[in-house]
Amino acid sequence: MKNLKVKMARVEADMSQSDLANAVGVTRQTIGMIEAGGYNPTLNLCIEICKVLGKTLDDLFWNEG
Amino acid sequence: MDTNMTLKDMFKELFGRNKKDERIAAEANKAYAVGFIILTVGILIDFVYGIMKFQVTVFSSPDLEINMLDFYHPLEFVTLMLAMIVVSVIAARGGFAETGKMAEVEKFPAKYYLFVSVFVCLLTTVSVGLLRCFAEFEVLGFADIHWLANFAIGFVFGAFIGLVCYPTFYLNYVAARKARDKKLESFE
Repeated sequence: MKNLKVKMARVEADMSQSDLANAVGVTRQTIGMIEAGGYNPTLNLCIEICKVLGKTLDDLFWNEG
Repeated sequence: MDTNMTLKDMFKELFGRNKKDERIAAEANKAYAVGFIILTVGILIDFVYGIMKFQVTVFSSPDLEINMLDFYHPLEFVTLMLAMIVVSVIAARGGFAETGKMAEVEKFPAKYYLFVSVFVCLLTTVSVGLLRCFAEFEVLGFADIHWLANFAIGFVFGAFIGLVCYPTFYLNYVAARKARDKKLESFE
């Protein structure tokens, strides 16, 4: 399932996939795959992404229902 | 990686403990695991086949002067054992014993491990039997393959390995439970 929340938060923060990837220490492909729903990141990586984008885990990784 | 790296950067990139992308690390681990299994099974088959061929040659031509090392290389076996020991140690350090499925059950799953031991016995019987048949085919030709005798020898090997397997599983279970209890105590 696509993770549009991460994509929207990234765009809101005016960051490219490469910027976010560099900030959290992964490759751009990994960020792309997280946004496309092709990879489930570990909790540590989720927290890193949240910190960089100034969001909480609930904001980016919690799906209602 | 940068295109304008200094010599120091390149050394750091090549030998340093760089932060790795967790997805790439996970994919690489999967790939290495498949490679490890293929290599270990291949080396083991090659090693056992060498022994079989040596035995067949010795029994078919007792007067021939044969060098055992022409058929199999001890280094191959040592490397295989070393790889298995290293993998076991790394797995044990990673907490495989106290978190594996053996540590999760309260009572030893005797029936399941009996099934696994019998399966290992049958697999060994067929593998060793077939390898002996191949060895006889290569050394003596198709007409001189002793099918029944080869599978009987295979069964002896299989039964021995199956008999060793079962108590080994039990000892593993006892060790896993002990390791689990110790780990849980440390959380208190």
